[in-house]
Amino acid sequence: MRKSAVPTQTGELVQPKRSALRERIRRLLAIDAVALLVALTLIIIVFSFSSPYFFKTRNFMNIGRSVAIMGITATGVTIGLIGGVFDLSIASVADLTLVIVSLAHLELGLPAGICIPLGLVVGMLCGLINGFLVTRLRINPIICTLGTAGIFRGIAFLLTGGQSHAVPTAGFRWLGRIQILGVPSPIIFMLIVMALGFITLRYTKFGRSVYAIGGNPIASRLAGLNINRIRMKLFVIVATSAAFAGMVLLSKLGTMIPNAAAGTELNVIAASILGGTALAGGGGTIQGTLVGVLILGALRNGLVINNINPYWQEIASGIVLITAVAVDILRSGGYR
Amino acid sequence: MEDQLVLRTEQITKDFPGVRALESVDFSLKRGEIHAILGENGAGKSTLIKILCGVYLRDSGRVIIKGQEVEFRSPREAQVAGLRVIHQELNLLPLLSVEENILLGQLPAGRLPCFVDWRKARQQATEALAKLQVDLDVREKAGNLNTGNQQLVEIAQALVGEVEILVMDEPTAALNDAEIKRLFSLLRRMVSHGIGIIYITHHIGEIFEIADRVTVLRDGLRVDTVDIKSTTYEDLIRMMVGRDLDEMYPRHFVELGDVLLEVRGLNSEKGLHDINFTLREGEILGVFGLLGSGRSLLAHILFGDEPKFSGEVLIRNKVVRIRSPNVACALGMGYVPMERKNEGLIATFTVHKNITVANLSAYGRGLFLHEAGEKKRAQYWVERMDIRTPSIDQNIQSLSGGNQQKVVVTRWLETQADIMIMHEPTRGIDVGAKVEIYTLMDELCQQGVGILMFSSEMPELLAIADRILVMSKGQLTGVFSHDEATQELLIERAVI
Ligand SMILES: Nc1ncnc2c1ncn2[C@@H]1O[C@H](COP(=O)(O)OP(=O)(O)OP(=O)(O)O)[C@@H](O)[C@H]1O
Ligand SMILES: [Mg+2]
Repeated sequence: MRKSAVPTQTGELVQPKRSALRERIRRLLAIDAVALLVALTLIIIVFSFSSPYFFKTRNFMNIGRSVAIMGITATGVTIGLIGGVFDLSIASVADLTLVIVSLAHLELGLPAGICIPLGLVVGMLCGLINGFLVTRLRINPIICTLGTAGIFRGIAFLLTGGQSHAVPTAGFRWLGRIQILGVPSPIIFMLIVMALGFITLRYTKFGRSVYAIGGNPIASRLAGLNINRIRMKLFVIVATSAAFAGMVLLSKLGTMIPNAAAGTELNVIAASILGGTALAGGGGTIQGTLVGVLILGALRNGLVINNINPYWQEIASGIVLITAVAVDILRSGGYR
Repeated sequence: MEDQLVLRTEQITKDFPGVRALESVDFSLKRGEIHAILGENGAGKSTLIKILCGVYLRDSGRVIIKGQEVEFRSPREAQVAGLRVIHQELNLLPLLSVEENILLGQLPAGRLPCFVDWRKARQQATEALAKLQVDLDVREKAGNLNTGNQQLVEIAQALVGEVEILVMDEPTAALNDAEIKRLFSLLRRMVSHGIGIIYITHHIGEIFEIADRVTVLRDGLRVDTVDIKSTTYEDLIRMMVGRDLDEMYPRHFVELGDVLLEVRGLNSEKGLHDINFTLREGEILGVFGLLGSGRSLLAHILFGDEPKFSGEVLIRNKVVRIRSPNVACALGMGYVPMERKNEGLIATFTVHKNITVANLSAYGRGLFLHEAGEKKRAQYWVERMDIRTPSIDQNIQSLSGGNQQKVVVTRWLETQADIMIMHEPTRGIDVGAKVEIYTLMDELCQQGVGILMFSSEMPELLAIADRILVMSKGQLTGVFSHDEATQELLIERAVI
C-alpha cells in the first residue's frame, strides 16, 4: 500500500450497488456547499433581472428580516436533526411561548425582563416533555412530537380563547422591531443564535457526541455515550430555539396571535435539509443551514416582488423541501 | 489450457484516494477449481473481487470471462454472466423475510406482469437453503436470525439460478464448525460440476482443507500463486506478512492480582441461569459456547446493554448496578462488540473520531473539545497499533476489516479500561493482525487489566486464556484451567 498525503473526500467513498450516473451526480453533490451557493446566486440573478426592486439593500434587509425567525428555529432544528432528533412541535412551541409571554405581560403585569426568561423556560419545559416521552417511553419522535404539537397548540388556544390581542410592546421592541446600525434586530439575533450553534457543533464535546449518536446510535451507546441524556438535551435545544423565535415573532407582530407560527415547521425543516443536514442524522452544519434559509427567503421574496400569487410561495416551499430531500437521498443512499 | 480458464485478469490496478489498493494484479480461475486468495487486512482482496463483479470500476487492466473481455458496470450484469458474489459484509435487509432476502432482485415473475410468483419463490428459496443443508423458516424476518444464520442466508442468495463462478469473501467468519463442514461439502459438489470458486479467508487451515491453488496478495501486489500441494503453512504466512511470524500466541502468564469482577447468581429471563464467576487482574477469562448458549446475552448484561436481570455484579468487591453502557464505562469497563459494522463503528466518522469517541471528556477541560490534543492521541495510536490508513482524517468505512477492528479496540486503550469485554475480537482479521491483538491483550494483562474474552475460536482460547468457561443453554457447564482445557472437553461441555 502506498501512502501519500492526498486529502480525503468522503465523496470518493465508493458504495456498492449504484449505477455510474447516480455515482457521478453524487460526487457533484458531495461538494454541496458550492452547489448551494451557486443555487443562491442563480436565484438572486434571475430575480434581479425580473424585478427592479429585488437587488436593493432595502430588499435584502427585508429578506433578512423575513428569514431571521425561521433561521433561529432552524439552528435548533439542525442540531437536533444531526443528532437524530426530529421535532414537529416547533411551531406549536413558538406559539405557546408567544401566548404565555403575552399573557404574563398583559394579565400579570410582569415586565419584559421577566417575561423573556419565562418564555425560554416554557420552551425548555416543552423540550423536556418531548424528550421524556421519546427517551423514557420510547415513543417514535415523529409521532410523539406530532402529538405534543397538538397539545401545545391546544393549550395556547385555551389560554386565549382563540382570540388575538394587541400587546403594547414597549419592553419587547428590541427583540424584533429596532435597528442596530441599520440592521434589523431579528437578523442580529439570528446571527448570534447561529454563531452559538456553530460553536456548539464544531468546538464542543457535546457537539461531537451529537454527530456520533446521529451517525450510529447503537455504536455510540456501546462506546459509553449517554444517548438518552444527549437526546433530552437536543429536544430542549430545539424547543428553546423555537420559543425564542416565538418571542421575536411576538415583538415583530405586536399582537398575540395564538397561531402566528402555525405551518412554519415545513419551511424550517426544508431550510435545514436544503442546507445539507442529513435526514438520517450524523451530518450537517449551521453554515449550510444559513444558506438554506437564505435560499428559501430569497425565493419567497422574489415571488412576492414579481407579483406572483402568494399561494405559489407555499408551492415553492413544498417543492424546495422535496428537492432538498431528494438531494439528501442521492447523497446518502436513500430511504432504507 | 486457455479454455480451461473461466476467468482471468490482467494487470488490474485500482487507486483509492491516498491508497493504491491493487497494482497490476494477474489472476486466473480454472473450471472446477477452488482458488483461495490470502492476504493481510487491507491487502486488496475485497477490492479485487469487487472489481470482478462490477461494484468498483478498475483504473486499468482487463477482466476476461470465458474468453471474452468484460466490463461490468453493476453486480446485476455480473450476475447475468453467471458470476455470483457473497460479500464480506452482511447485506441483508432485516425487515424482509428470509425468502425475500434470498431472492432479492431475482424474484420469479408471476403470470401477470409485475406480479411475483410467490409459490415458486418459496420453492427456490427452500432449495437454496437445502443445498446448504440448513433448516430455516423461510418466512422468518432476517433481522431475527443470529449472525451465523444470516451468513447462511447470504450464501443461499448466491446459489439461486445459474452459477458458473462463485466468489466468497470470508464466508465462514460467522459460522460454527458443523456449518463450515456442510458449506465445504457443498463447495466440493459444486466444483465437481465444473463451477469455479474464488474463496477468500483468513483461516489458513481452511485453505489446506479445500483449495486447489492459492494466490497471496500483499499491499495490493500479487506475491505469488501456488498449488496447495506444493506449499506449507509457514510458506503462506511468510508470503503474506513478508517475514516469519515467531509466535502465533505471545502470552506470558502472570501472577493474578485482586478480583476485578465478580458475578453471583446471575439470572435472566431471556435465558441465563445461575451464572457465577470471577475475573482477576491480569487474567484472560475465556468464554466458550455455541450459538444460542447465552454468551452474547451475558456479554450484553455485563456491559449494561440489557438491564433486566437478577443477581449481583461486583467490581473490586463492591456491588454495582450497571444500568447502561455509560455506567459500565464509568466503572472502567470497555467493550469490543461482535458486530463491528453495526455496533462498533460510527460510519460517518473519521478514524480519529472513532478512536476518541469513548473518551471525549479527556480532551480539554470544560465544555470545549481540544481537537489538536485529541488528534495527537489518535495519531499516536494509529502508529502504535499500526492501523493502516492514509491519514487519521480518513473515513472509517474505507479501512479494511482488520484495521477497523483495531480502531474499535484502540478506543478502549484510550479510556484505559481495566475490565475489557471482548466479543469475538479477532473475527475477520488476518493472522498478522491477530498476533498484534493477542500481543496487545498480553500487554494489557501484564498491566493488570482483566479480559473477558468471548470467542468461538477454540485454538485462540486454548492458547491465551488463563481459564475457560463453557456455556450451554444459558448455564455454565464447565470451567477449565489453561492446562486442563482441550478441544474435546470444550466441545463436550458446550453441547450438553
Ligand atoms: N471505498 C474505499 N475508499 C477508499 N479506500 C478504500 C475503499 N475500499 C478499500 N479501500 C482501501 O483499499 C485497501 C484494500 O482494501 P480491501 O478492503 O480490499 O482489503 P482486504 O484485503 O479485503 O482486507 P480485509 O481482510 O481486512 O477485509 C485498504 O487500504 C483500504 O483502506
Ligand atoms: Mg476484505
